Amino acid sequence: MRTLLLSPWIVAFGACLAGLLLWHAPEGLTQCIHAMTTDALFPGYEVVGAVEQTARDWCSLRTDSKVAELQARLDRAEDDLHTATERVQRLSAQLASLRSTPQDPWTSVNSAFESERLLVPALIEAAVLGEATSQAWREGRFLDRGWKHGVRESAVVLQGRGPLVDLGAAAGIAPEDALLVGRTIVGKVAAVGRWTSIILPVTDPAYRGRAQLVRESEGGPVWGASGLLRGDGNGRCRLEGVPVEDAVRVGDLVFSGDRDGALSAALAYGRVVEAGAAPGDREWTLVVEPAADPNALTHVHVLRAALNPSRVWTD
Amino acid sequence: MPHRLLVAIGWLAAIYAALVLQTTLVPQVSLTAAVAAWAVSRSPIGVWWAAGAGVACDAAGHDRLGLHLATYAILGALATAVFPPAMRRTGSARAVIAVLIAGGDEAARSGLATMLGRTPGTLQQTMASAVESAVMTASVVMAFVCVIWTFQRLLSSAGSGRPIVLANRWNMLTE
Repeated sequence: MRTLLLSPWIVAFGACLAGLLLWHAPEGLTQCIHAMTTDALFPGYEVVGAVEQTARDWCSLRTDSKVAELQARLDRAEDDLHTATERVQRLSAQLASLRSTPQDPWTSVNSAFESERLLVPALIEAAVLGEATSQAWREGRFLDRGWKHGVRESAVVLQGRGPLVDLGAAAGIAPEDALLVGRTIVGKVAAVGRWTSIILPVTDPAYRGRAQLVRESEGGPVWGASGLLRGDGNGRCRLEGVPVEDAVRVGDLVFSGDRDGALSAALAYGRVVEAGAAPGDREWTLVVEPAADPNALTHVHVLRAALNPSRVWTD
Repeated sequence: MPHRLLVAIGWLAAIYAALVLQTTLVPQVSLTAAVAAWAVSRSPIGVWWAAGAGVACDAAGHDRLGLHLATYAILGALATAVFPPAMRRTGSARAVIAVLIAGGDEAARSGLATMLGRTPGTLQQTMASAVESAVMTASVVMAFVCVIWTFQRLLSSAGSGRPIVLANRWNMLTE
């Protein structure tokens, strides 16, 4: 018997007979066997699915963590670059100012009488309100009770259309105050309400500001031509009024043309990214890219001149 | 007796896993044929397990029962007759038996389906599908043989459980 069981050909013959019988099995029995087998395999399917899902999760987790790490490194690099750019701009402006300052033989004598400045720059931080928040503020949704009793924002703000910051006359804000991010001008205050103010970004076509170029020379950065900066409405600015006789190059830095002794260095607008002049033109066509995108800001600093308290008290 | 019971449980588990993987992940590879080939290569009684794999394959399919049972058993017996016992246990012989069972089973299945008019096709298409199944199954068997061989070489000496010895042996194998 054992020999018969171990004979492969006997087993094959028996299997053929069994196969023939099963081939002619009733349809119902066949379907029942198929269904039972599928049910029996179901736990295996579940295990394979779970393993597959775990592997997929693990792979995506590794990918996500790598992307997050790279993003963090990119953010740090961008911050470093921004800081370095600001430093270069500040140093360039200081160097250009030093070069343009005439040597005064009385400096050493007068330095003994140097006193503190009467006016010092004061920076007030303000939050830029989002479009939805600004709309709600103008519609009076935040002050609905006081709105009816005369506690309301100034009409100039309510009827205006520009973006808002959350500081107004109550915080000492005045029209034409410059808005800064670091040492970069991103706009100015256009209209002041009681609690909020309308701001005018440098890229707005209504923006106007005096500007001056700083260009690299063999001896270092020097002040160049002056002009009028205005926004072009497309995220950039144009510098007008620069004669074609003046030297201008792509990459030249653009600073504010308003000199203020209260400030340690000039404030930057951005950098020349396009420079051209058609034959017969008397002025350059200069496109300036702002150093900071005014439309992506959430916080700005309002630059004000304030009395130096130590000077007031000593005098 | 407990040893035989464990072996039987092992073969049943292998057939179950092969069916699950074959129907969910890689339908082109006949893993049940690979298990049948492995069983046949171990001993003449492996033909029983080959027939068992054929029954499982029949039950998990959607066609009539019995075809895989008959082909697995016949091809298993044929492999037993062709290869002498000493040669049957080598890795290459296992791959050849896998080619025989997988290719023959696929040829029988698709040929019968074509003859019965269930699927349109030619003899060339039938042969192509049989060769594809045979080659892919044989490659899986060869990969498994390589893995087993590597682990056997790694663990073949006393005290090989120590990581340093395993590392040294791995270096010797891969140098």
